[in-house]
Formats: sequence, C-alpha cells, structure tokens
Amino acid sequence: MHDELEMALPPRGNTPYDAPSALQLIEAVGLFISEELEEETTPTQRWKLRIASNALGIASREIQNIAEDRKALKVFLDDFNMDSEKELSDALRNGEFDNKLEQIYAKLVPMVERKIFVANPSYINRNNIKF
Amino acid sequence: MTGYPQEEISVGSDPDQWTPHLAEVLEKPLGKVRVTELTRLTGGANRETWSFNAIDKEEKVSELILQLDRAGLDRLVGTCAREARIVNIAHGWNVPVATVIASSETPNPFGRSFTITRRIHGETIARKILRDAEWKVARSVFVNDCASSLAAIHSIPKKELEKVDLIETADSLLALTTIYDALCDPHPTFDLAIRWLEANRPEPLSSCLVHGDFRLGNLLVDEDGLRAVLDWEIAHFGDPGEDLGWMCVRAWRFGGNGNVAGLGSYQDLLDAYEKASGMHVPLETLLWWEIFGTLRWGIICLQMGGDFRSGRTTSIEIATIGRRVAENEYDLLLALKDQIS
Repeated sequence: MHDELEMALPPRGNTPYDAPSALQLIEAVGLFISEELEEETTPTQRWKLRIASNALGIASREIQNIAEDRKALKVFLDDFNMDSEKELSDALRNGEFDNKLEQIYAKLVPMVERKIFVANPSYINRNNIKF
Repeated sequence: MTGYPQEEISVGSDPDQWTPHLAEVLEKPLGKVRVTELTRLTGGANRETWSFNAIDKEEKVSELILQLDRAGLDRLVGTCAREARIVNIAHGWNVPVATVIASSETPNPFGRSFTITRRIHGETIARKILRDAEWKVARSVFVNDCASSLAAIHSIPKKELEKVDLIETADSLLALTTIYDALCDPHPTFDLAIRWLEANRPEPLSSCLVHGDFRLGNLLVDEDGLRAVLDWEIAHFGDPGEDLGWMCVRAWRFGGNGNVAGLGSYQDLLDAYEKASGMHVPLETLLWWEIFGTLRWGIICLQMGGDFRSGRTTSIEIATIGRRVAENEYDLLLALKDQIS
C-alpha cells in the first residue's frame, strides 16, 4: 500500500488545464536543451541552442510578469494623460513635452528596467551599469 | 527588409556537390586546384560564410574564405560582389583588408553573389579579444589601429568609388527616423532620443566613405593588432562621425570598461583619429554620434525582430534580436542621462 500523503500531487491552482503548467513545460524544455542536447552538439548547434534556451527564459519571465507590467504601463501612460505608447511617442516627437523631458525621462527608466528584467535580466549586472 | 527565405538553399545541404564549382571559379586566379575541408562558419545573419582549402598541383595549400549572399534575401542581392569592389579599392588606400581572390555577381555556379578571400589567421570574437592573454599587445594598440584605419577609409576620394553603387546619406538622422516611423512600432524612449538628437545636431564633419559597421566583431586582430576590417556590406557615403560613434555604442563594448570598443577612452580615439586624419572632432560631436548609433542599433533590432513577427523568417536568432530592443532603450537612457536630467 502506498502512503496516501506521498501520493498527493502538487496543487495546480485554479486553472482549467491539467499540469504541468505552461511555465513548467517551458522549464522542462529549457533543461532538456541545456542538460541533454548541448553536450551532443557541434559548436554552431550549441550556439543556436543557447539562443533557443534564452528565448524560453524570456517566455517564462514574460508569463510571470506580464500582469504587473501591464498595470505599470497603464499607470505610466495615465501620468501623462496618454492612452497608448503611440500617443506618447507622437507627443514627444511633436515637442509637446519639451518642457517635461526630465519628468518623462525619470518615469521611462523604471519602465525600461521592467522590460530588461524580462528580456535579459543579466544585462544590467553584466555591464555593471546603473542610473 | 524583405525576402527572407522560407527554406534556405544552402551549400551545406551537400558540400561535396559544390567543390567542383569552387575549383572552376578558382582556376583563373590560382590555376587547377582541388578543394578540401569546406566547413561552414558561425555568425552573420545576412551571409553564409565557409572556410576551405584550395590545393594546387604542387600541393601548395591556399587557405580561403567563401562568403555568399544568403539565399532568397532580395534586399542583399549582389552585396558580396559589391563589397569585394569596395575592399579592393580600400586595399589601395592602406586599409587593412582580406585579399580578394575572386568574386562574382550572378549568374554563377552558386546562383548567388559571392566573394572568395584569403583567410587571415587571428581573432574576431569580441569577448576573446577583450579578455584573453593572447591578445594583450593587440589590445594595447587597438584604438590607435582603429583610428588609423578609419582615417584611411574616410580619406578615399569619392571619385575612386564612383563605379560602386553606394548610397549617399546626407541626413543620417532623417534616414533613420524614416525607417523607424515606417515600422509603425513606437517606443517612447526612441522618440525622446530623436527629439534630443534633432535639437542638438553637431556641425557635419565631412562627407566621405563610411564603413557603416566598424566595430568589434567585424575587426580581425592578430597578436600585434588590427589585421583586417571585415564586413563592408553597408558601406555608404556619409559623415565620418558615424563610424567613430558606432565604435563607442555600448553594445559594441561587449562588457569592456572602456568607452571605445570596451578598450579605450573617448579622448584616446579622438587624439589618434586627429593624428591620423588631421581632422579635429569635438567630444560633443562624438557623443552625439554615439547616441545616434545606440538609437540606430535599437531600430535595427526592432526591424530584425519585425522580420520574424511578419513571417519573413522563422529564425529563432532573429526572433530574439527583437527582444534586444530593451537593451538599446536602456543604453539610450544611460547615454542621455547627463544630457536631459
């Protein structure tokens, strides 16, 4: 007889899908690439596999952060009474914010940092660059 | 950018099938040869690059490099052969380049424009050049060598190049913003930078041949210093400041501490360039071109990522370049820090 407690599966939360989750699948493919495939490949293939692995990392971080980052983008645009990045871009180019460039700059920094955290979190530390 | 192939026709599908064609192409410059060790090299989103040996009747081995336009890339048709013409002219003006053995527009056995050059031994991988003990001497003279080579490139009279189909970019910022606007994918950081660049334009330095991609990765060094300037694919007529600033773009420092190619200071570059060319370039002009270059690389990343989004390529490499836009936004904000805040 198996111990019932040992047989209990990790909770999968309130989701209509079965497990593993999208994130877990991405992680599994990432490990398959980095731990199984990479050792059997040529340098060219290894380089491409590393790119594929990085792409999975981006996808994984995006899934985890998109809800919060969407909210932050809305707050950022609301601060300037803008509905979209396009509207803000147009206003910047037309000179409508020429007397507020410092303010725009200060609020763009954390927005771009959010994007970097998803796209390539090692970028900031690797280059030892800070504002 | 249009015309990525859905299915690339590659020499690699059967390298042996192509060796007779290579031998045929090489008969005129090298005599009868047999081709061995045809091996595809990594890197280059727009080119296929191969190394191989050509062995003549007396068993003399010529180590060669074959570059082909990537199949199906309409916007690049003929660029290999055009590049060979520029390289030959640059060689006559003391620019260190690889010796061209053969080149051709289509039609030819490969069905694509190609160039064959002598292989130069050395290193192009930035992280190795920046860090490995082997390149210590090369590092110590690198900024100086680059400044001399740039001065030589910028000194080539335009009339020498009149038979080469080169674009004249009179207003680089306008040309870049036109591309950015056409992409219809606004990034407020880019617009902030464009606004600043428009308001702070420096006086033009001159109009001359500009390499267009002069940076670590396209520069081959040996133990003693810079040996060859590679990848002339986007050479054009423009302001020499474009090449100087491009070397300083943070992406091309590859994590090195120096402002110029991760190795030297702005003043090192400006002093060496003035010594070699006789042209004084103010620091503010260099910084303007660095910010321009950072914006340019950001827009190139956006454009390349767009090729994936539009279905013109399925390349994972191109897809992930689209996500490097954020790095350029970050670098732009850093570069603009002292200018705006």
